[in-house]
Amino acid sequence: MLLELAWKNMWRNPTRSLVIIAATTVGLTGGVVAAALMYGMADQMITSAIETRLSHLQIHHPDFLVEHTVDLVIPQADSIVTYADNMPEVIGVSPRVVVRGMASSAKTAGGINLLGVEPSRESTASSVPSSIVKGGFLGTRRRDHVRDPIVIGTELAEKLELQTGSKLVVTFQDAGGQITGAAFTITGLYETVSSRFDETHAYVRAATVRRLLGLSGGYHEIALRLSDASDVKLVEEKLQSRFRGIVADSWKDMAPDLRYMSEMMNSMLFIFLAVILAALAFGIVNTMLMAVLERTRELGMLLAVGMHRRLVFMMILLETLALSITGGILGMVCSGALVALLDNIGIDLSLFSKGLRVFGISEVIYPSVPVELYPMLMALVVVTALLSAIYPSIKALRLRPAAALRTAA
Amino acid sequence: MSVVETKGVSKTYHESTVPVHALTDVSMKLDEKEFAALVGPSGSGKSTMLNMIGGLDAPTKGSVSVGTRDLAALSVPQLVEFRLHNIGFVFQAFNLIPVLTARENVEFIMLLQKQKKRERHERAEELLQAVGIADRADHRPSQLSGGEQQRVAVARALASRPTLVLADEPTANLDSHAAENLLDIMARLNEEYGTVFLFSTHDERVIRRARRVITLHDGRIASDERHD
Ligand SMILES: Nc1ncnc2c1ncn2[C@@H]1O[C@H](COP(=O)(O)OP(=O)(O)OP(=O)(O)O)[C@@H](O)[C@H]1O
Ligand SMILES: [Mg+2]
Repeated sequence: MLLELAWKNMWRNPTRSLVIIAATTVGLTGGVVAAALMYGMADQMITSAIETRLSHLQIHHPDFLVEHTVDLVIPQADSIVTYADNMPEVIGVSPRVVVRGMASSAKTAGGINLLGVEPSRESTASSVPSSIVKGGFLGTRRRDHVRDPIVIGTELAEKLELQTGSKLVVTFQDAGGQITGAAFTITGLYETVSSRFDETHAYVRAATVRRLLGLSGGYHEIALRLSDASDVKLVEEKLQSRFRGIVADSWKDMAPDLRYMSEMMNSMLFIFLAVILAALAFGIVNTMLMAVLERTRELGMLLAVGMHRRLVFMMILLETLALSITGGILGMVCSGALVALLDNIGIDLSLFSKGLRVFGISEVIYPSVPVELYPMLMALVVVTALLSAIYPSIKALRLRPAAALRTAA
Repeated sequence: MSVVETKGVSKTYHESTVPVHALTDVSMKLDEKEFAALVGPSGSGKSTMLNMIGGLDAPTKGSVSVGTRDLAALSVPQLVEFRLHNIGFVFQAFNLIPVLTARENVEFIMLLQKQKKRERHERAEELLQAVGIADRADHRPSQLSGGEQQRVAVARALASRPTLVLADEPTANLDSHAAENLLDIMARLNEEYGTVFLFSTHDERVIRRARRVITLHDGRIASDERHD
């Protein structure tokens, strides 16, 4: 009964109610879509980092990531590869010989990670082989059968002012600690969403680097790609307990910044929405205060004829709630629809894409929000509504019937 | 046994720098089935008197009792319950909830009394019939004329089966035809249900319909006449 009355009262001044409902709807939609955009970016950043640089899991000699010396190869690398190949959770395994070096052209030079890979395996664990924009990936094409082919990112090619077919000199330390170098022929250019990555990673055949380093065999790194990212802990434990003298690190261990980013997103979002809702709360308080003051005589009449203060208080409270929750529900429906739509078509930010690629974000963002957001949002809306209802309801509670009625004269 | 009794009631308002003596030492009784008018010039204390009897305000001095109950002994929530079950109110305006229909307004008071749905419907129907609004029962107040709104207010006042109806200038906003019509209805309901009516008014024609006329002057009873 009270609820029905509150609902009817809400529509007494339809313009005023609609304005506040629209404000809530627009505010929430804006907030959620902006949040979805941030989530989408963060998601893409993580996904692309996993696809190019990190993979889900990497295996190294325990000291390799600290010292990066050439002799720190993974013991029993071949049996680890075979074992990983047979794990049901694993869909890609790529062993790599890794060395840090200096790439130089006639123009300039830059530090790079030279990755010696088995080309067919690399494509199972990373998206770089499928990101070729010119040429091929190390022998997947016939005309790549030159001596010592190398594949570099477009960013590095631009920086060094080189093209496919050009020679590229890479210098590094060999197993004996001597500075050595070799001239490679660029046979392919790749481009990922991260310009930073493209500038600092070059791919050659594992056998080539091994020969240049003077290594008889072995790998420094085994990258694993999983079908389901949530299995990462499980696979890590299996490998650690099965093999001695290695460390397996998940992408979260290798890039804590990315992990914190996804956690930070949640608190950012919360603060963001709290600010929007706080602004809305003032609008709601204002509207309801007006509604109470305007109705002083009527509320006085209700108190006079025998309605308890408690009920009048409840009526105003329900009216405020109805107003905010209507706006809240509309806001969620609108934002849900908009996010779903944008997730389908994507937002093309190619205008800013140069800037974004520095952060490893692609030009087209697919906004998405975790579904848990909606119940949380509803809870926030209700809390906001309750908080905004308190002051106007107390105003109504303070009315004295005789005095309220006298204002009628 | 009287329905209302005031003994030495005084009311002084201290809201401004000069205290206003709205009522001074007013003693009077209303007996069962009375149909009484409270008259007097503007500011003579009519509204104040009705507020005291209705338990909307407390006297500065003296006592008010309705039935066997001394109102001073009741707490604020008890006063609300007392008003809900014993007194029907008709004000000059703003009697009705604008978003509810005439019928819903009449039923609302019985809803507060927690009466059953069947009872509410029957009582509302009967009263709306009695005040001649049955055919407009589903109209909202804004769709009714001033006279019709006041008739609905009278129906609402009687819905709770009160012993006493207090009406503060119920005809002030009505033309003479509508005013007489409202008085007819009030008089008939007074006969039919035996409910005591006390109404304040300025209107000569309305005063003539009362069987008792209490005149206030500067917060004191100047005369108290019966015309039976
Ligand atoms: N809440 C209040 N605060 C201060 N003074 C008040 C208050 N209520 C009434 N008064 C004063 O008390 C006196 C009596 O007022 P009351 O409203 O009872 O008169 P009334 O006979 O009903 O007048 P009217 O015919 O104009 O309605 C007036 O002087 C009025 O100004
Ligand atoms: Mg008055």
